[in-house]
Amino acid sequence: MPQDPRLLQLALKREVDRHSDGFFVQAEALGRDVAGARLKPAQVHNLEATAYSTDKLSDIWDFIKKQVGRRPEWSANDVGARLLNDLRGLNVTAGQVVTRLKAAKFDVPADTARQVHLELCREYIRHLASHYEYEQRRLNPAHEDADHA
Amino acid sequence: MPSADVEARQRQRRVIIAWSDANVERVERFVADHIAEVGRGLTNAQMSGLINVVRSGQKADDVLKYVERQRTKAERQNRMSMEAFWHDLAAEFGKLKGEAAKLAGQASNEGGADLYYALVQEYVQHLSAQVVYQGGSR
Repeated sequence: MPQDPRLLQLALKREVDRHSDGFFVQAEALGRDVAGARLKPAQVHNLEATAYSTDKLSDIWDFIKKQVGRRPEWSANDVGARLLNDLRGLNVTAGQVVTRLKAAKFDVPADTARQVHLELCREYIRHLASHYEYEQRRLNPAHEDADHA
Repeated sequence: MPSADVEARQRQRRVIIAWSDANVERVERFVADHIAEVGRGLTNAQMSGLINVVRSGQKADDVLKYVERQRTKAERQNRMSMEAFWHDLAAEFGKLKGEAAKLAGQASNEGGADLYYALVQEYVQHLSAQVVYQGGSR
């Protein structure tokens, strides 16, 4: 009997959510360093916008590479290279997710690992952006005052 | 319900996306093999020119012509590493033609022209990002 594709989507979402909690601390540390490297809020927003508007992992890699090459802030504390490394490393987790789903007898389409990898990258970047913003406010309380003025 | 034409376009887009993501490391290796020798010889103007041709051209041949012009220019100026860079890039684009044909599920290269051009565009996007990245890392 053919499998309901919604069941696979639910299982994928559950797996992505579970792993998202797992790399929260790592993203928090990098978000702190990104704030310390003095990236501007627009630069982090552009990263988020790229991650959420593309279907390609490589668009995210290319965006980060160009930022690192052109903007000195992205090279401070190696934040750009570390981010690239962390995001690309999530392919291992994506592979594990697919293996688990196959073991649970799900009929997994060929492109699933890549799509899970993309979702994991979005989650990582979302965590990083939140921590960045938190740290940014902590380091520059004057901005907060200005916002509320 | 989507028409057959829309479905075909969506299928082609999925093929391009998967190919693009799977070929990032290949482009990184290409740049790693050349960047040390090419160094500052590869100017921003040349990369911008390549990107402009890819964005504004109509077909892969326009890109190949640009690459060949750059190769000839480097040869005339006796800049061997630059000539090798453009020569090897043309060879990479040549391989993409065969890959596009395979992806299009066709026996020959004819008919896979749109897909071929799309692969060249993806390759150049990765190439330009990697060149900027390695240049910025030096």
